[in-house]
Amino acid sequence: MAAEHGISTDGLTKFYGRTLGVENVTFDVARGEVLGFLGPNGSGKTTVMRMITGLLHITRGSATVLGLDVASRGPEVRSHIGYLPGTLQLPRNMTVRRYLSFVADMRGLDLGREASELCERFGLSPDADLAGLSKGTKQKVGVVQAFMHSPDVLILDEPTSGLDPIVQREFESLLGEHRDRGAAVLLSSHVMHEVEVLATRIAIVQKGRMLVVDSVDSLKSRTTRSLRFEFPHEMPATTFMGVEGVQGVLVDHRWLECTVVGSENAILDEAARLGALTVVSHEPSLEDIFLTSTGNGHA
Amino acid sequence: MRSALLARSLRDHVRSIVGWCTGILLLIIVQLSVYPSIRGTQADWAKLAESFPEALRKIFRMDDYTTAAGYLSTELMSFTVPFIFIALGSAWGARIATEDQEDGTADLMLSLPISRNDYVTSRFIAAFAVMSLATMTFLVSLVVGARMVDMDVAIGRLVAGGVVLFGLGSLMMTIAAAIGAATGRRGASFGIAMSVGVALFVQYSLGALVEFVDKMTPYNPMQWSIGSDPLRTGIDAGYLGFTALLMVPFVWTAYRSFSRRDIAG
Repeated sequence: MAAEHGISTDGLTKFYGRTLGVENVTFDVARGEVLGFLGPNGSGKTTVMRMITGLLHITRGSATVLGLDVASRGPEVRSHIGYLPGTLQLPRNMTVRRYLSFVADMRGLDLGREASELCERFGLSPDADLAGLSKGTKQKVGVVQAFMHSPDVLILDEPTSGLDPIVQREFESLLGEHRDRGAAVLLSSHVMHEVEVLATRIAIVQKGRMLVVDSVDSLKSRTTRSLRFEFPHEMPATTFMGVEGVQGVLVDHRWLECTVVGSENAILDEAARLGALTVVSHEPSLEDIFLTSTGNGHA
Repeated sequence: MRSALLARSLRDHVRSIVGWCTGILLLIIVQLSVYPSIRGTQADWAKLAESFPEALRKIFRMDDYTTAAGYLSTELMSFTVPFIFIALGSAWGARIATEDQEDGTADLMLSLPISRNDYVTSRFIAAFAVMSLATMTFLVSLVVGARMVDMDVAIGRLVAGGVVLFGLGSLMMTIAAAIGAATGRRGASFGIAMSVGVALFVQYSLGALVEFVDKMTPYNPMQWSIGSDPLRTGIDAGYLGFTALLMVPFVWTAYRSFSRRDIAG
């Protein structure tokens, strides 16, 4: 139970008949870590999450949660997981309170106090009928049922979908608390800001294959960024030719716009030597990393 | 853990369950309320029954129409109530492995710490509970009603009728559950199970008319249930055993298919 990794996958592969879902997906999520799980729509993120929760059978490879094999010890694995699916559909004919009580009963736990506290935190009325809730309010119920048993592992698929910015902020705060108490979090989101704030590492999948798993800082350092230099007079396009990391230069009168990969030190030194007046640097965002990694960037 | 799911499975369909039981109750009230007038004109009814073709008399068990057991066999046990139990069993069986998936709640439900087998077991128990409730409604209303209209039928024979209906409905439930678990489609599993029920009834009915078709009748669950004439002859343990035995492969298929199937998101 004292496994270092909350989640660990090794060569996880899923085929739907002859159609590839995901292939050879390998990553780990440590306790107390949020792994941002990014990829275009249909890239296989949800497939991976649903295999870990036991909703889909694994074609090849393996996945463990807290060291427990998800294929052979499903119910025990799921007792440690809080899962929020990407497409949330709640049961009908129930109030919020009754539904959360049902989930607690299914987990064999008495979670009345925890559920009430989370409902209060997210402004949920426990007596509201599930059928009459708005999309955002249903999402809040989904968040509460995923977090109320303080799980060791959280698997969250687009958790802030439909939530307003204030509730999104509250959600980020809640997730941060659970990360800090040691929960391993696999977070899929299209809200890059959210992932950037919470995740220390990110994994990017595309067309069912893992493109990269690395720390945000490392990925940023490897991502193409642009630097603009102002010189006292017009400079030739060959000015930074051969400088480490420089991939292209555009001339705009006294301005040179460069695309750089990796460390900026070499080009900054060269620009200083040539008497640059102004430097405008654009720090790559997670969105830039995502777009560059998936081949949709401008690099 | 199972009790929470069992309770939810039943609570979600309280109105439907009440509807089915009310339907059975009303049907029995209507049929029993007519019986005193039948009894009062026994000779006329016997003559009318004799005027029907022999095959029809056989299908609807009209040979003994004016006795209490004969009347109930014809009016309740020959077609209407068996089909109510076939429909009820098919409907609940179709829900067992498909309802959460078709409602879109399977991801939340099956990501809870419950095994697929426990899930199916809880759902089967709920379906059997509904079948039991319908059977009890049939039995209690018939026992009470028969006394009220002074029908001379032993309680044991009425219980035999209830047991036979429970068996028939349960068999259809397991068929629908197996199809639902394999396909994940509630409509298809209900439709196919109902079609099987109709086909069995057609074979059972045609058997009374066509000798070649009649050779298959001993293998037809309809024969094991309504064909065994429980209100007049009581429970046929052999037929009941066949019915129970036939459920086994369907129950096995339901468990196996559901545990092997990917849950659609």
